[in-house]
Amino acid sequence: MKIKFRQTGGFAGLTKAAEFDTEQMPSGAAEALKLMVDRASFFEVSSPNLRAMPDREQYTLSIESEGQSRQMTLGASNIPAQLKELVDYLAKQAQYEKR
Amino acid sequence: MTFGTHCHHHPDGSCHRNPLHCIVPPHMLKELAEQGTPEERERAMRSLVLSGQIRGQRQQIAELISRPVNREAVAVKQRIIYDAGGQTDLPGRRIRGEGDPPTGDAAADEAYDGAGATYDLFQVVYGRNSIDDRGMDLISTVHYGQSYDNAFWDGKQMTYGDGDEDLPESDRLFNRFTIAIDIIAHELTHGVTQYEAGLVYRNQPGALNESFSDVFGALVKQYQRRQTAAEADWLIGEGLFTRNVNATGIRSMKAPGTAYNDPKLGKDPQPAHMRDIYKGFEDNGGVHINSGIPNYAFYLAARELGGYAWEKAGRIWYIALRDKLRPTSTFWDAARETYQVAGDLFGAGSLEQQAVRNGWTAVGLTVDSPPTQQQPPLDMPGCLTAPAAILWRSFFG
Repeated sequence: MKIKFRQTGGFAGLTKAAEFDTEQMPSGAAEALKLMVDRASFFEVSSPNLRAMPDREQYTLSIESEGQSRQMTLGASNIPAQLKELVDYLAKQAQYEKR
Repeated sequence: MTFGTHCHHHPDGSCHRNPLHCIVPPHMLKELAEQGTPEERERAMRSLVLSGQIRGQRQQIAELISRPVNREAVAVKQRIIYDAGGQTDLPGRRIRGEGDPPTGDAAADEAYDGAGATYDLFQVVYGRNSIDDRGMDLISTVHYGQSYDNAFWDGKQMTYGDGDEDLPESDRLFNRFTIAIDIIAHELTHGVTQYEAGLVYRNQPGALNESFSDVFGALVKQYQRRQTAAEADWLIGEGLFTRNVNATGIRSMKAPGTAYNDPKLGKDPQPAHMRDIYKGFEDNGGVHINSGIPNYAFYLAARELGGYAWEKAGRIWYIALRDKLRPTSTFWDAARETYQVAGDLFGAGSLEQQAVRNGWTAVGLTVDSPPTQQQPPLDMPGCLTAPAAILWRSFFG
């Protein structure tokens, strides 16, 4: 499973990013991440409206897994409950990207 | 053709457009929305939206962009500060109300003082009674989330993170987000914009929304310090980055693109001219990037006028925001309308009007002829002719 995560927007206008490839990760961490994606039903959940609120973050998630792939853009003020755990985890892992 | 907005007059003599008082019947608005000139279509669309003619959206409309029908006769400042305690539930626990003594918590007291200073500039200088011009409570939450590097306005209140203050000092990039008064004024001004022009938070209207927040952010700081346009530093978010970052602030209105240049974060991406406008999708179409263009135009106009920037340039921008601009206004609309307002307030051909024209010209916008090439105002091509519900969703969906 490959995951790409980007966070843009926010008062300071900086970008954060993180990439994961479960093949390249220790098996425990890889399993935990896959379970999180399963719990989120990422490939089934309907894409919410992108509600833009002043200075709130915007997230773009792209996940490829077993022939499936999906990209979704989310506004921080409007994250479906089932995606919250995954988005929170990825946002925590993400690092500031150099412009 | 002109169609009606019912006007009531402000102390400064200007007409306060109030779409909720619109006297044009809905069927005429619908006809205009379908068949008028582009400008008529957009005005009609806005009136339809604001008068709740679009079914099923009343609640959202009321929450997001409704404006007061009656102004309170007496202006009263009502600040309430809450503490989220590192969680993300809003508003959190109430820790300070209006008139209460300082709490001793730096973030809480800065949020209280900053909201007060912002209220004062809008009230004393522009005659505005709070965010909605109707005495709305100024609600702020501090200590939001863990290592939360942000502050925002959510349509109802201001919220501030502590930055990296919970990390070891050598790892910190951000201090707490109440540390600069202009950040507080920036967030509160998002509320003013929501109740006035209602600028859509995407592409050029979104970057204008950002720019108005920076403009009044800078003016609150200058008003508090009694600094002239020449004395001010025109930095937004000074002191927000820690000393681990090579930066003077988050944005520079007098030299967009120069606020930071750091090995970890790279360089401030703000353009100062239309030829360098960002056209990508991220950051809602670059709202925190392209705000550099109108920010610089304001700075140049204020510098040319001299003295206190809030007195002339600030008043021109405030009245344009309050009475002239609309949800889909572009940079050029802002250029044209501020030029017009300068003429109305100070006379056609006045030095003030010339300074506004010169500011916009320097960033590549000519007030009397539309730009040949510009970022589309919204993502959806031809959205002004789209059915109202689709148009609505494209703004706020």
